Amino acid sequence: MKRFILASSIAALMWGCAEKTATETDVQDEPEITSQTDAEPAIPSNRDKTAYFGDLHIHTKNSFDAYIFNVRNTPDDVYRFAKGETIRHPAGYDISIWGDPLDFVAATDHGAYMGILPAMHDPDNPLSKLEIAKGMFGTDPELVTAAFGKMGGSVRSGEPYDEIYDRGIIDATWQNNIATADKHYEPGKLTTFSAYEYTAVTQGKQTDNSFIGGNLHRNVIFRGTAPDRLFATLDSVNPEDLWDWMDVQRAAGNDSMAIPHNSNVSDGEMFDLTTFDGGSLTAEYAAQRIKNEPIVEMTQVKGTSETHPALSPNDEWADFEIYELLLSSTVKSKINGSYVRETLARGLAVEADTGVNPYKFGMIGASDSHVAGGAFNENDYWSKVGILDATPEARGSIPPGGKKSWEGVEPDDPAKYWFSAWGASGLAGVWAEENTREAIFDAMRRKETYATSGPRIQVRMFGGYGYDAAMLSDGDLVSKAYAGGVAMGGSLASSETAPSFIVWAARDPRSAPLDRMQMVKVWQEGGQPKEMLYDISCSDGGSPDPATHRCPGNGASVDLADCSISRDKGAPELKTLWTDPDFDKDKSASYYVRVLENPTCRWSTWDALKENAPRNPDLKPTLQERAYTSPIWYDAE
Amino acid sequence: MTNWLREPLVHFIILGAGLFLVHGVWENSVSKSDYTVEISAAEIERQAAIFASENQRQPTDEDIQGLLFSHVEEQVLMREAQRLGLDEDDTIIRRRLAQKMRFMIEDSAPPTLPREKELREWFEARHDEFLVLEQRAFSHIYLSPGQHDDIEADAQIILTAVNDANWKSQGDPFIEQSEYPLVDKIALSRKFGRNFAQGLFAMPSNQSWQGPIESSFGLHLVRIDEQTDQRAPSFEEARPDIEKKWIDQTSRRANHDRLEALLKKYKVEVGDVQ
Repeated sequence: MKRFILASSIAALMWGCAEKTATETDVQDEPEITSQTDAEPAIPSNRDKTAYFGDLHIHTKNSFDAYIFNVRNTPDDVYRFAKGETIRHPAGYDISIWGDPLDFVAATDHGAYMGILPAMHDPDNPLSKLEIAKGMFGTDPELVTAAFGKMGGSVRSGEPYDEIYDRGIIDATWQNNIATADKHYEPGKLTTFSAYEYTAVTQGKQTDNSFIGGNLHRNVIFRGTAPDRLFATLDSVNPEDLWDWMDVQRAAGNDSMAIPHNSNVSDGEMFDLTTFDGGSLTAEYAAQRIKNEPIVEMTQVKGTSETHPALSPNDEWADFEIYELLLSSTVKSKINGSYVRETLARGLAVEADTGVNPYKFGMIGASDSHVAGGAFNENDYWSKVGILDATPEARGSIPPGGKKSWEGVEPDDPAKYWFSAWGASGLAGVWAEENTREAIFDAMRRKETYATSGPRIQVRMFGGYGYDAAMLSDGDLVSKAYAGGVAMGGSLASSETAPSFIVWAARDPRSAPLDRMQMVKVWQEGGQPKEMLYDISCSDGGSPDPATHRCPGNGASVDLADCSISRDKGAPELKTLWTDPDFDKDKSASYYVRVLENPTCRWSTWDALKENAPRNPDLKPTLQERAYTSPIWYDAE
Repeated sequence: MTNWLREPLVHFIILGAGLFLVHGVWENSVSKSDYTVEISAAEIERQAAIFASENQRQPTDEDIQGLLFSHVEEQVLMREAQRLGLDEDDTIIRRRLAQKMRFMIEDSAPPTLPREKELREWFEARHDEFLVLEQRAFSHIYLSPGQHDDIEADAQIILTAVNDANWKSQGDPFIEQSEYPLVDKIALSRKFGRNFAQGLFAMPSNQSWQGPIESSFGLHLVRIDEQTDQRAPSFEEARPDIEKKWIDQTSRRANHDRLEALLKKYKVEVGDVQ
């Protein structure tokens, strides 16, 4: 080891020197060519709205954890990746996006200590002379862990670690992130947002210097302009203080929203029935919360937050990419208060008490990639934490040590508990008139959004009282549906008759055909959450059984020998008009749609296939990719 | 500073000499101290600091002794393992070292762009890589497989009756647009599947209704509304792409060359396969 370190530092010196010489002598002497000043082409606009796809949760080397994962990619790389360019994974291979370039994107580095790690690693920066910096970038794993733990502990406790809390560096990094987002913004082509992650973690029972606790993370997305200084956990670990700050910023012209994520590992605290300090919820709290947090990121690499099999025992599809361990731990998160379906019912209960629903939120998905680009494709997966889960072996999809069997072997603990349970998810779908900051942000504010587990499924949903089946084949279906009702994210006033819903989904041509569409109805009785799952449209000519509300299976299968799928099963599009058979005019309810694809191989199966190794028998070989719409609410009197 | 001091070769020689010097000293000290586990005062302080941060209290003397004992144990076991060559047998250690080495030889700073003249020459030599592909704009009438008993027959019926005044009311509603602006074949196949893209680009561009062609969604009757030929862009027009590609290829080549230089130092001997 010692020999290696010595040699490496000398080699590093040599390279450093060679580089410097090159830049010194290679001065450019030509004037820059100014960009052409052709008239800007008009931004395409569609009154009936277009589904735009984006990822609003991506980290770069400016995040304290990503830097430790050996990530050196920058916010610039986030936007380059989104445009379809190839970037380098920290483990040395090339990555590029699955399918079309993204329509909108934001780099969301952790606000706490943003940019501090790169500074600590920069020999020209005084921070690099600190003991903690030497530990962090030394070769002693214990010291690295201790230094990293100190930072994580500080992000969680909100107590700044004074030596490295250089506000100048944080502000400069943030301002550079804003400038980079502005630079890459091309209205009509690529929408970028200034954004960062507010990384709050509950204090819980932890007394040690660790990051373990309930995840209360949010991404803060700015509609246009952003302030020079961000608000991180080092300012306050209470998300309610974040909303106060956002309110002040909004009044000053910097509109934003906060998007919670990984409620699945929040230990039941993301959607709790009390305030941060344990007080009871009030109308003021509810109004401030829903104004600042109109949508939730409910699927991403670290699991699905839709629902849990224990909460939805009658939902056969509830057990999808479930991940339950509190961050960097093997401690299970509390289930109640951690999933959005139950929370929609909780919101109705709070509304019954206070008059305002704090959880009238919409849905999006995102990657949470820490390598500047999301892995959305099961067949081309690089997980998310840099070099830690960069290979099939490291993420537990093939036996360790090049073995050809799983007999008597187990993956390393991180692979076993964490990486093998993570998924190739997710994306945000937004229905907007045009691809601009204003149009995309405003669509998110009105919750005309949906989440997918990765594929670019398109799904529309409208609710109203005057819809009829003939509209489904009308060329003006969409404009008539808008005119006669509300789109996803909207609310319907009370009525004597049941509302009906127009639901329309189309497959992603690069993924599997559709299996079925389902309506999830959520309400509350005496404060208790209630739910009902209806299949509303089946593929291959099937129709839902009126008693069980289930489609007959379409018989689609996956050949695990090569991951090929049935060619003649499933639908390219599904479209239906559905009326709630169990409507109760006196009960407020929330309705959202889930679209299921035919089964395909999970990433872990693809990994094993490509490595010519046996797949991990503890992991599900296949999955059904899906999309989830924001709900439409029925507001009873 | 005098000029010769800025020469890379001079740097190389000085550093090279330094390397030999340091290496020699190191070799010497290792052979002497091979069976000595030294524990410096700094090491003791370091262990104490880790202990304090993990346990929220200062270590006692016994704690320190315990810590140091495991440190000594680790050192001894590690050196014995190295002596037996166990590190060379270990896939994880081997891969980790190879990975570290790869990081070291792969330069993360992008190369500086050359002068415009050079960049122009570079571009002229690989015109083909910068072609702007043929693009087509089209309108379409969609037939959804779930809505037709005989979808082919229905498509033929529409085809005989369709004209530029009535086309919008024909067929089934499509979830995206009915009119698409100029798009190349690659982007089109991402949206509609390869079969559709190939079909659409094989059609005569004559603004009449044609088809049907099959996509991942069903059948489509299409009308090509506009077509632009494949063409070679000017240097000015393609400059952003050229710069990107130049940087990409140059840093790739540099990485490749550095790896190759290492490979050349080695001879590979392949044993006979029985």
